[in-house]
This record gives sequence, C-alpha cells and structure tokens, in this order.
Amino acid sequence: MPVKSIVIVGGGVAAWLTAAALVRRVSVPIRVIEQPGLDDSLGLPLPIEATLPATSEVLAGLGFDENAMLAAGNGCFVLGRALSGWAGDGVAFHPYGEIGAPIGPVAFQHLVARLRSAGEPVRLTNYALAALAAQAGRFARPSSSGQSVLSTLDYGVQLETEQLRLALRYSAMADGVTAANGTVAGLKMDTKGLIEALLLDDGTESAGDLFLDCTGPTASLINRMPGAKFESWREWLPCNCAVMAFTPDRNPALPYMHIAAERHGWRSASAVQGRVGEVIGYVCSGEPEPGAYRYLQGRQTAPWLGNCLAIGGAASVLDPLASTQLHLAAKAIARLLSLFPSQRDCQAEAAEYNRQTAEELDNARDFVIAHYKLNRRQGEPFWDQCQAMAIQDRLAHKIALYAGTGRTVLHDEESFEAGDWIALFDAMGVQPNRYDAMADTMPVAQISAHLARVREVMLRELGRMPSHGEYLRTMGATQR
Amino acid sequence: MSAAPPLRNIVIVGGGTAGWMAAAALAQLSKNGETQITLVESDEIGIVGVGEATIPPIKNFNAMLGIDENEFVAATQGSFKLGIEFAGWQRPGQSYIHPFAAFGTDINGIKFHHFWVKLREQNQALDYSDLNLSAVAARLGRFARPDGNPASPLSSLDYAYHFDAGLYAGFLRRYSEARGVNRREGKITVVEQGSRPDFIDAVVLEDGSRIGGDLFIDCSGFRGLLIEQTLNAGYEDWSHWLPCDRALAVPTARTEPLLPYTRSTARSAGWQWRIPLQHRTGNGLVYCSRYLSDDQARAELLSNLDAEPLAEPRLLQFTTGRRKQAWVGNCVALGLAAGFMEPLESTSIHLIQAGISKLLALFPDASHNPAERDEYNRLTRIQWEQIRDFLILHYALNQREEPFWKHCAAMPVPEALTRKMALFQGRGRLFRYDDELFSDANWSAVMIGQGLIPQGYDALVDTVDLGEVSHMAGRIAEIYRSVAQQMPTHSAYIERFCKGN
Repeated sequence: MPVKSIVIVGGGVAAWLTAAALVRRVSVPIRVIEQPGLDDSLGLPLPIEATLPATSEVLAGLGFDENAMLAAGNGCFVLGRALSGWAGDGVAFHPYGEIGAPIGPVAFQHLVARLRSAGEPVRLTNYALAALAAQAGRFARPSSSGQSVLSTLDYGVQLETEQLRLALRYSAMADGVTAANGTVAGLKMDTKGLIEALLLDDGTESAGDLFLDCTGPTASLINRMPGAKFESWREWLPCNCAVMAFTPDRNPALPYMHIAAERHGWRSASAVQGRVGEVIGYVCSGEPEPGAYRYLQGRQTAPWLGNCLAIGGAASVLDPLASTQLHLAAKAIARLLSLFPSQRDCQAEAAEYNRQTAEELDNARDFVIAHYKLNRRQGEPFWDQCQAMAIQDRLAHKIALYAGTGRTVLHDEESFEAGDWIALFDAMGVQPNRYDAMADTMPVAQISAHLARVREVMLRELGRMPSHGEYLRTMGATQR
Repeated sequence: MSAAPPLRNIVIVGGGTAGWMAAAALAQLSKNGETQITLVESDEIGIVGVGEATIPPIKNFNAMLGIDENEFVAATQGSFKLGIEFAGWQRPGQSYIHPFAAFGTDINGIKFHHFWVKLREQNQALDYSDLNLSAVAARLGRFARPDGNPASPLSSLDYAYHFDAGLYAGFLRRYSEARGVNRREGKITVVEQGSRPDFIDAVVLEDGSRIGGDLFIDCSGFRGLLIEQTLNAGYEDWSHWLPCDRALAVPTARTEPLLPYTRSTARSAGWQWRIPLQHRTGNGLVYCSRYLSDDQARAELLSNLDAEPLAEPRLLQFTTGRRKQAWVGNCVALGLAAGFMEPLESTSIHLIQAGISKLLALFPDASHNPAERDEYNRLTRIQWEQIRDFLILHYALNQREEPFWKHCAAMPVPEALTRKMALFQGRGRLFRYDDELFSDANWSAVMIGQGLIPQGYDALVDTVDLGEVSHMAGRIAEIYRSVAQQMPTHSAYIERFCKGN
C-alpha cells in the first residue's frame, strides 16, 4: 500500500516541527492529533529550547528560516556553554566553532599540549572566538570566507518553546496541515502488524499510512507496537527529576548558557529576549516535590517499527546539559525525509533509519555521560559514584585515546564535533599526556608566537563585533 | 604532566613499495633530532610489485612528501589514470567506466543520480558516464590536469596514476636516504623478543649484526615475518566472499594510443588487468584455482594480450583477507603483511598510504599507550571491510554464465553490503559511513554500470521541474564533450610534461 496520508500524534513542538517540515516536502495529506497536556514532546518540557551549531544546517534543509524562528521565539544566540562546578572551582567554557588554528598538519590541541609540557600554562578557550565573544557579550554571525577569523566562530539559537510551537503550528496549518483534538486509546492493526488507524478516546478512528509518534516520553504510539522496547540509560544517567522556572529578566540576554554541577545534580540557565529559563535536575528516590517533572533517560531500541516512527521525546530522553533535544528531533525529521517510504510496509527504510538513529543517540548520550564520569568534585556521594561508575567501551575508548594522545574518536552521526569533545575534556581537566609526534619537530618559540598571533587576530575581530543586543536589534528580531 | 620521550629507533622490515613509502613518510619524524629510521631489506628476496594502478588520494601522499608530480611520473615510467573500464563484468560484450569524478551536479541538495533515474524512467536519460568528465576524457584517450577554479568545468576532473611499483620504490628510496633513513642490506634470521609480552626487541641479520628498535614496521609481504610468524596476529580469511586465489602477471610492449585508464576484463574464472605505462603495459589474470588450472590460466592470459609478452608470466598465490590485528605490541604491519585484496579497484597502494597516515596520526612514544594501537586497529578494520564490500559488489552483480560467475552471483554477501544494495535498488539511496573511501559517485558508477538500476528515486526529485533537469543534463554532457575534445591526447600530454627516461 502506498503512503497516501500521514498522521502525527502529539500537538507539542515536536509534532508541529515535524508537520511544518513535512508539508513542504511531501505531497500527501498530513493530520495532527493534538493531545492535551504539558508539552514534553521533545523530552523534558524545557521553557527554552536551544539548538547546536550543527542544527542550523538541518533546519535550513527542512525549509526553516533562522531569522523567522528567532523572531517568532523571542530568540537570541548562543555561543557555547559555561561549565561551572564540574572540575573544581573555576568556570570553563565550551565554545561553539573552532578552537585556535593548526600549524600545517598539527592540530591546535597538540600545539597546546606541547606548550603545556614545556611548562607554559595555556588556557585553551582563550583561543576560541566564540568564547571571547561570549565573555564580552558580543555576537556576529560567522563569515563564510575562510580567510576571515570570523569564519571560526559558530553558534546556536535559544528559542522560547511555547512561542516556537505556536509559530510552527501556524505555519503548518497555513500550508495545509489539518488538526484535531484527541487522545490515543488504542491501535487498529492490519494482519501484517501495521497500523491501519488510531482509535481515539472519543470513539472515533483516525486512519493513515504512516504514523508519527510525537507524544513525548509516554510514547503512546510506539509503545503499543509489537516489539517496542525502551532501553534505559539510568545506570549512567541517574537524574530523574527536574524543576523548571521561566521568569522575566530585564538584563540583556546572555549569548551563552550556564551549566552548573551542584551537590545533588545540575542546574542550567539560558536566556531568550526578556526572560531567563532555569532548570534543576537531580535524583529523586521517593515522591517528587509538587511541580517537579519526573523522567527516565534512555531510548527506544527501534524508533521506527512497522509504519510507526517516534520523533523527539518519544524516541529518546536525555539530560538537556548539551542542548540536544531540538537538534535530535530536527535530525530525525531530516532522516525520515532521506528515507521517506513509498509503501506502508517499509522494512528496508526502517532498518536503516534505526541503525543511523541508534548511532546518533548513543553518541549524544556518551557526550552527556562524559560530564558525569569525568567530574572532579570531591566528597559528595552522588558525584563520587559517577566517577566510579563503569562506562561502555565506546566512551571509555574515546576518553582513553584523548587522555593518551590528544586525538578524538568520531563515529558516524556525531552531534558534536572534535572541537566540542576537546573543549569538554579540557573543561573536565583531562589533559592529554602526550601529543602528535610532529609537534616535536617545531621549536616551542614558534608555537608560542603562533598562539600569540591567533589571539591577537581574534581580539582585533572581537573589537569589531557588535554587542549581542545590538546585533539582535539591527536584524529586527527584538520583540519584547 | 610529563610526556614520555619520543621513540628513538624505528625499524622497517622489508623494502618493497610498502617499506619505502613508510620510510619516506616517517623520515620527517627524525627532524626532532632523536628519532632514527632504519630500513632492512635483502636484495635476495624478491619484491611483489603490488598495484601499479592507484586512486586519487595518492596525490595527497606525494604532496605531503613534497614530490614534484612531473618528476615522479617520469621517474616511474608512469601515466595518468582517469578511472577503470570494467569490460564484461555484467555480461560478455558490455562495458562501463568507473571514473574518478562526480556525475552531473547535485540539485537542491539531492544527488544527481536520483534525477538520472527519473530521466531514464521517462526515456530521456543520457548514458550515465556521459555526465562525468573523467569518463568522457578517458573514452577519448585524452588527459589534462584539473583546473583549480571551481567555475571551470575542468575542475570536476580527477585522476590518479599508473606507475612501475619497483621504480616507485626506488624513487622513494633515494628520497628517504637523502633525508637520513638508514638502509641495511641483509636477511633477517632471528627476531628477538623478551622484554615485554608482544614486543619485539631486535632483528638479527645473517651476518650476526643486531638491529634493536622501539617500533617495528612489518613490510615483509604475505608471510608477515614479524606480525604473524613472530607475534601471531591471526588472519581473517575472506575467500568465501572473494574466491580468487591466484594471479599470473606478464608485461607486454607498449601500444598506441596510450590509454588514460586501467582496464579490467572479466574472464572465465576471474578477471584480467591491463595497466598502461610509458615503457610497457602491465597485464595479469586474477583467477580462482578451483575453477581454472594454472595452465589454463596461462593460456587464457597469453591469448588475450594486445602486444608481445616481454617476459614469462609470473605466478602469485594469495588468500584474500586481513591480519586480525595490524598493530600488535610495538609492531605495525603495512602492505601485504597487513592483508591482501585483489587489485580490482587499485586499492593496494592506498591501503599502505592510509596505514601510514593513521600510524602518523597515532604515533606512539616510549610509553606505548594501548589506546593508540586499539584505535589504529579499529580504523583499519573498518577501512578494510569497506573496501572488501565494494570489491564483492562487482562479483555479486555479475550476470555471466560460467560456473565461477554463477557461484559469485549466488554467494551470500556481508550484511552491510546487502543493506547498501537494497537501499540503492529501492530508491537510489546511498549513505557514506565512517569516512568511507568510496563515495556516492563510486558506488553509483559501479551499481548502475553493472545494471543495478534503482526502482525509484528520492521523493524530493518530484519537486524539481524535470524539463529543466533534462536540459541541464544535456548541457553538461555537451560541455564535457567539448572540454574533453580540447584536451591533448594522453600520449602527447606525457611527451610534453613528464616523459620517462
């Protein structure tokens, strides 16, 4: 049976992102069944969703205009993450974009390691334009010219989730997507184990050929499919409770987010124009406090089963320490388009989709686990246990190779690039105990001079960048 | 933080193509003032001239060494290679070119082959290879180097070389010795071990002299003197997927015109290579001894030459597969010591090059961190398996009638390849995993060339006006034809820029 109609279940931001993207690319009717309730369609119901540098290309490929999203979501830019309390007292920064510049074939981190081994303390992120700009509250979009140092910077955007949802809903419906209210009570299956129709709680049915589960962690479609299995990550990611706040703020929006480790978990703060969002994540063993959100981290073993595909929180739930929620949902939609099925029965497409998605989710998971595993807090049972926990070979090898050689392992479907891993390792105090043998063929003075030149060029560029607020004003994205 | 000292003595065992490529690349390490590179080879042990045909990344290797291209081509009696012609692989009489360049142009981020499939469905499609500049120039026997300006159609061309591997090894030997690599003549009689498990301390030569080392590069060929005979790395046999196990090689006199491509012709129980060099043509028959005797193979090879043989055919025996661990302890295997795959896609020299660049990237110091070894072995395994699957594809897609070929068409293939073929057959989908050597263009060239035509195409193709695509494709083919016609012939190009001595 050919795919002649699509049914999306959810009604949150994941559902409308999916609908708004698909309606432009696929010429079959799309219907969204809106379920009432809290919007945890991307995983945790965060008041602010942030993208990663890699997300902008994905969203552009799906037909979304970044400026329009910024305007709709009272958005602002994000140049990276300030990490505090993870490895001692200071604050480290995870900048987006490149850190430093290589000399010939020798990557920057090896040059830094050589200098450090010669007794010169070097702060890695002093050589990242995104870090310098974030500290100075300045912003400019990167240059496309490889000649300009401004091409080394990268960024994401921070958007007010509810405003984004409304804008996507408006756009999708203007393009012809239809919506109805309802809650799924059951599935009507055909003899091949494929969904024919959704049974809704008002007794009606909603028929279709491809069913997209955007219902968040309840995963009310995919969990009803035969063979559905949720793989828990609790042994490595123990936080299961979150408290959120979203409050007005008169200060200029900061172009970075702050992720702090605290005694019992983590706290994040990020901004949109005129408001800040705060989230506290921790481990809760008994009844959660009123208003707290309970979650379990993990992923669907196979997010595409039969003709049912889970997107967003229905596919995976992960601590939002590294802004992966919106990114992973956008990637899921792009991947669905790259494997868009022509038939209701589409096992080859589903198998490939599941393979790529598993790889992507496990990579993102490992990036977050590394925060816990590598923490250097002392004398706190929660953090001591995280240091001691056993991790999978996949991440252990990544850490060991960096610690031993300064090299990064990148798999397929990484959400984070080499620079992100290096910044994270460095922030956690992991310093490679050796470096590229080629760095030894260069005199220390040559490397020092190179670093000084890099910093000088960056500081000069920084002086030309407008403040974050000014940049937003001149591009006309200021709403409040 | 205290770094362990750099390695002092690196010993390369074997001086064929692999050994001298490694020596030339590692020579730069001695600039740190502490590392010494020694290569041990014996003039008595014959060198198996692997490859002789290469793929485009070889240009990066030579560039890294700072080698002048014209000087290199002249010194190795080399010629230029725009791709490989596969004759008779789908069925006798049919042929296609697997060229080194992209096909057509991507539209709205959608790969061109999707549009080609739709054009073909509507009977508007050109020959797929007419949309590839390297293929067009190859058919016309012409060559020019690509233009660096991306606006020029000539920028889409890509190429590699054919060369005499023995002369290449000699060329790199001169290069390496000029940069301080120490060559020792002699046969190794003893490999000394003992200081640490899986570590080699020294090799001892026939004359009793002892060469100690911190790192040993095993380039000793098939036998793997260090990696296998000493360290027992183990061998993974792939002959159930790639059943050919012998080759007969014979040089013939040069012919005109000098073709700018390799030819691979399917024969009764294997295939024959033809590699045009300036001073001669390299030929050989790769075959499966279960289906063809050595005498039959010899007769088949000799009756299918286009010029006088210049020597007696030479027999090589091999088991396709790879060393389970290419790096054990302080020993890294390169070339045939690391494994063997038939030169169907000219990957032998590339695998040496890729091994060297991974080794440089993960170069150990005196602490010998096992993470480096593990990463090297992980990346090596992925690369070998990917190339293996690409080779199997050629056999899996044949429609020939001979028993050997029927066996190949029916044999089960690795799971990753099954998936790749199914996804392409369905809607022309291709995904590149783990920085795979072969790109969409390579896979689509061979799949389409051997008749695996997708049943559908990317759903997004329908959002683009087909009339415009058809017009554009016609225009590209026209431009490629006229650009190729303006190139000099391959012979004239070589005569002018890089004639051998």
